[in-house]
Parts: sequence; structure tokens; C-alpha cells
Amino acid sequence: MSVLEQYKKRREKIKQMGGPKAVEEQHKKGSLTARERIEYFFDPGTFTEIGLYVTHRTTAFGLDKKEIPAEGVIVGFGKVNGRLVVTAAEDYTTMAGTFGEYHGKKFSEAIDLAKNMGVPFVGMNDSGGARLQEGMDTLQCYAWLFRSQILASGIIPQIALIMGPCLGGQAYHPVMQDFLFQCKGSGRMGIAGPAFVKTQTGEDIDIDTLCGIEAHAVKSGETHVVCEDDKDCLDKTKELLSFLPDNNKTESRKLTYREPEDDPQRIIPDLETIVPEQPYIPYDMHEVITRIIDNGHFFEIHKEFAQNVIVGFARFGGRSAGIVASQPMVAAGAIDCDAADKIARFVRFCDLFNIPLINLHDVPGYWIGSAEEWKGILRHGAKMIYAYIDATVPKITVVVRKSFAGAYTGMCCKDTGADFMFAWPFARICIVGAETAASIIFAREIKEAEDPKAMKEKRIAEYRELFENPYCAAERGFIDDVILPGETRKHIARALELLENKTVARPWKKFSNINL
Amino acid sequence: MASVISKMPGKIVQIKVKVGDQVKEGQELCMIEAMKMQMPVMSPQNGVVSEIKVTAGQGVKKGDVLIELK
Repeated sequence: MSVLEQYKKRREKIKQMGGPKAVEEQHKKGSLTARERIEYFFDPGTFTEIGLYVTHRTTAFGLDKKEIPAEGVIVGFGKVNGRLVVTAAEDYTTMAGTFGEYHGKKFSEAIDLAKNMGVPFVGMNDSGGARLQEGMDTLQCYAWLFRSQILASGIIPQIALIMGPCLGGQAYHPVMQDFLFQCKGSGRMGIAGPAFVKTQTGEDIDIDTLCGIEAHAVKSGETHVVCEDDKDCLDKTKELLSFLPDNNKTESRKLTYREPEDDPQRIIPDLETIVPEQPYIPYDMHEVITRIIDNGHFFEIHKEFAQNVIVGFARFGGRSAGIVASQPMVAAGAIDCDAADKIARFVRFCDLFNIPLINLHDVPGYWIGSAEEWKGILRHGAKMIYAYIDATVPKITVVVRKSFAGAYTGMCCKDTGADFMFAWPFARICIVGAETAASIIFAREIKEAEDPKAMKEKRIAEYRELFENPYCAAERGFIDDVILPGETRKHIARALELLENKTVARPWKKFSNINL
Repeated sequence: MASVISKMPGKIVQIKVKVGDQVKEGQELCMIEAMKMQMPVMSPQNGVVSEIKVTAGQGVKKGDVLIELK
């Protein structure tokens, strides 16, 4: 056999991964193989593989006789819609994609490469966990992985795709990336699987309940985007990437620009009828969001988690922006611990990558009462305030219908970070609602009145007339203008244009001591 | 059988059904008020109201059973 024939044979063998039987098993589960995922994800013919020949050096338990093609993880770079991305795709067909020393080395070096070259990293996770035959070597390479990804955090966007199992310490890896996508059925993530949980705690629970979509997209909030299958997951990843710059350098922001097909100053007449004037009637804030953004194209993050607030990416005049909005139709749109965490992390991501923020308020306050008090609503709510004030990106706030109390400051008013703040004419902006205020200020007068009920109503009406409107805030300059609902998009577009070259100078410090 | 639970703490301001009523999925069963908002509680399925566990004016916690359906 000639050298070139040998070369071809050798490569072909590695590219067969775990062999036809293992590939068939993977397909039976409804999943693609790592190489099929890469082929589907990258623009045709653009993928360059690195470390194809890398192999383990373990001799224990007969592993010296075991071939593990590409070490169970395919690493390389290519183009996604014309822009470079680095990936590490775990290959479950090869010794269950187990995480050994050289598997870990390839994975963490892929992140280092992405960081050093300033391009996004996408990890495709599908692994049976630590390769226990390698003992201490497998444990240490988790440390390499965590170190690489955290040192890259804030420099490049990192996206984790849970397309198969990801259990044990390894599961910290996707959680510590910027966005986590999870495939229904196949994607299972957790600090420990059911068998371990059973032996250690006695709890009897199946893997889907413990580690599936409901567990993380709804309950824990660790999953940001739910995917139907592998192809849906890769499509959604491409969609998210289109909103993100390659790295944290200011000029990289321009990569997210798309020639707008939608007039940035478009007037939206029906916005006035979508939001009920009465402050106590719920409505779906998505109806507002999709009308004001370019072409109604909204990529929602954490769609199933803490639904009382909405966060996601959109464009205004072709520029990528992050949206943070109240959702009055879920739990009154009031902010609880989970909602505060959701907003704070999103705001910090946008700030890291120079993505402006648009905040839409219809918020009665932070959730009060024992349940949230004891969960720590003050320290969770504080994360939002820190995130907004620390953020130096352009920030524009619109009060759609109401903004009260701590939530007015917590969701970014002018002095907690907004460069511009607008309010609709029926917006109620105040320290508390008229009912609460009147019942405190006039408690004695109401109690001693001949007709306490009539007196209470009178005082509430007075307070409402005096303070529950957008004009008190506008008179002090706390909001920049009271605008017609239909002109919201126009005002956002104009403000964003002005803020395009915003600069902020602050005295040096290591970081703010955010309430973690 | 289905239990209709409260998705938020608050005060029951109105109950719109009585025991024995046929209800449809998505039908408004009662109204909870909290944090300046009145949130309608919808029926999760078609059925018959078998028990109403709350009265108007009563406070409820998140997760409390409000109405039983069969």
C-alpha cells in the first residue's frame, strides 16, 4: 500500500467514528452523529478539522488496545452564514463520547483558540461523562475546560448545545457558557443521574423528570432555548449567532448589522389598542415587542422560565439589540427572584458584547410577601440594579403602562442607567400606587372620618390625580418625553442612532460587588 | 379529575362558576388580584366543577388548589 493510500485509509477509519453499528444506534435515538451535526451546521465545504489523529495514552483496563477515533470529540472551525465559528462536537458513537484526558485537552484548547482569534465558540455536548478508566487524568481535564471557558467568558460568545447526556461535574461546563440550548428527549443535563441520586439520597426519580426539558427550561432556568431535535437546535443556534458579534471589541458590533427592510421610523397605529388603559387588565407584551422591532423578528431567551418578564434579541434599523420587558399576563409582570436573575444575566451579556438594551416597563414592583422575601428578593433584585448601572452600552427605557417603586429603578430608569426614557400618555409612574399611598398618608384621617370609605376613595383619587401619571416624572426631567404609543419605534430608532458612538469613562476598579 | 391551582399569591376577587357547572378548556373560572393586576384563572380542561375550595375575598398562596374539576 502506498503512503497516500495508507493516508487515505487511516483518515477514513477515524472518520467512521465508532463504526456503523454505533452510528446506527445514534440514528435510532433520533440523533445525528457529531460529524453529521458539523456538516449541517457549517456552510458547505468550510469546516477545517484540528487534531483528527489525537488519541489517548491510557493503558489501564485494556485501554491500550482500544482505539478511540479523534478521542471522541471533533474539533475545528468553519463558517456559519459567512462568519467564523469554532466548535467541539462530542461523538457519542465513540466510547460514548467519554471525557478523557486528551478529549478534554482538545475541547479546552478549542475554546482557547476561539478566545485568541476572537470568534464565537459552539460546544455540541453528547457524552457519557468522565472516562473513569483514566482516573485522576480525567478529573484534571475538567479543570482545564472550566479554566479555558471562564477565561474566554466576556471575550467571545459561548453557546452550549445539549444534544445528548451531560451529567456530573461535566454539566457545569454548559451552564457556565453564555447560552444553553437543550434538545427535547435526547438532551439530559444534571449534576447527577437518577442512579447516583437513588444510592446517595434514596430519591426515586426518572431521568427525564430529573434532567429533561421541564427540569431546566422551566424549573432551574439553566436552559435558555428548547429545541425539538438536532436540526432545530443547530438552526436556532445559527439564528442566535446572527444577533451576536464575534467578540467583545467595539468594532465587532458592526457584524450584527443587516440592511433594514423595515422603516426604522415606522408609525404603529394599533399599538394604542393593544395595551388596555386600565392598569389591572393583563395583556401579552409580545404583541408590543413584535410590532416595534424590525420585521417582527424576535429571538426569545428563557421563553419557558420566569415568564413574568421577557428577554431576547431583535433589531432596530438593522442594529442588533437586547429587549427586556415586563409580561403583565404572567404573575402581574411583577419581578420575583427568578425574573431578577433572568434579567440580570441577560443585561450583563449584552453589556459584555456591546449590544444596546431596550427596556419596556409595565411593572407594579418586585414581588412582596413571605415566599419571595425568604428566597431573597432583595439580593436577587439587587443583581438587576447592579447589572444596569454597571452596563455602559446604550440603554433606552419605555414605560408602556406602569412603573412603580423599586421596579422603576430596578428595570433601568434614567439614573440607574437609561440614556433615554420615554413614557406613553397613560403611564403611571410613582413610588407606590395611589391606594397604598393614600391608606398610609391618611390612615388617621380615614379612620376618624364620618364615612371612612368615602374619605379613603376621595384621598385615593386625589393622590392618583396628583402623582399617578407620566407628567410628574417628565416635569423633573426623569423621563425625556411623553410619547404616543404608535411613535415608540421611531423614538427608539432615533435614540439608538445618536447612541451609536456612546462612550463612558469611569474610575478604575476590579468590578462591582454584585449580590451573587 | 384536575385541580386548578393558583399561579401566584393574591386575593380571590370573584368566582365565576358554581359546583356542577360544565366548563370548557380556557374558560375563566375565577379572578385573582395581586400587585395591581387582576389575573383570570382559566380552566385547564373541559369538565364539571366538583368543588370550590376558596371564597371571594380570601387570600391564597402560589400553588394553592382553588377549584376541583372532574
